[in-house]
Amino acid sequence: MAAHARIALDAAACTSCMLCVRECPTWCITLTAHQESVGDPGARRPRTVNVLDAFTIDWGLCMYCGICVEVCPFDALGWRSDPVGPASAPEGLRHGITELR
Amino acid sequence: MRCDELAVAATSWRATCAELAADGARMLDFLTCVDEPADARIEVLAHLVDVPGRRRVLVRTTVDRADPELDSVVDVLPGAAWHEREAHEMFGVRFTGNPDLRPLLTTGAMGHPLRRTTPLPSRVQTPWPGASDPAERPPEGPPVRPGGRVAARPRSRLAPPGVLPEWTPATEGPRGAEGTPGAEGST
Ligand code: SF4
Ligand code: SF4
Repeated sequence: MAAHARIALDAAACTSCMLCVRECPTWCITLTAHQESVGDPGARRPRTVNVLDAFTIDWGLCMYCGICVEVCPFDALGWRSDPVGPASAPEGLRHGITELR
Repeated sequence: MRCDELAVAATSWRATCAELAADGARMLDFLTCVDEPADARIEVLAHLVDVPGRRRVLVRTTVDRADPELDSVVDVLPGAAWHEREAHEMFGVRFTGNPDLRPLLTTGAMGHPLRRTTPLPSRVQTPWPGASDPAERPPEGPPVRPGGRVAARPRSRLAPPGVLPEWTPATEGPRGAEGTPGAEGST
């Protein structure tokens, strides 16, 4: 079992459903996404999917409660054993999709 | 480890804790409160552990939210002193018999921060990240929702949990005027 050292995001599994963002008690997750139409453009009902643009966890605010991991319906968030490294400024603790892999 | 739960009247709170401590459950793991404004009460909880006996007991009682007062258990569980002090600061419960209920963190000016109705200024000032919605009306075309259903109107704004509407100063006018879509052209 992975130690609870940090949280990783599987961006391909994330559907931008916003559940983790809305449940996080410290408001430290931000997410931006847009919608794209998929399938037959002539279909009577347009079908759209959410496309994730950015996902950030601010480790300066996160309290490692794990609520976001629990609440994600698509298992896109999970614990990892390698801890978050130090940063020389608060902005350095805001990790995006690349750092959260 | 076995855990028993014991709900007692506020008048038997101290006696129950004393009895449990005498019976071996002498380690106070925590003492805290849960604010229940809808029921006009505050629940007080103490978690006692009997280490050699491998037994845990969660004692709970309720006090009146408007006048929360409870007997202190410091004489039977000395470790409760700090917990009662914290519960007094955060929830406003007066523990009679505890000689030191000075606040630990706050000046007392903002009220009792862990009561659900106490306004939290930074929660009002900080934009809630959950307010954005990928399914918001796209630049052109009718509004759509995931799953393809055409939404009749943009969704109502979600509010951040725990932030009460009355904390926000009413400077922006009424939010999300209901019934405007479709109102025009009704004649
Ligand atoms: S672990 Fe808790 S505090 Fe950290 S991002 Fe997840 S929900 Fe927020
Ligand atoms: S709960 Fe999971 S799927 Fe939904 S936005 Fe968060 S990470 Fe993505």
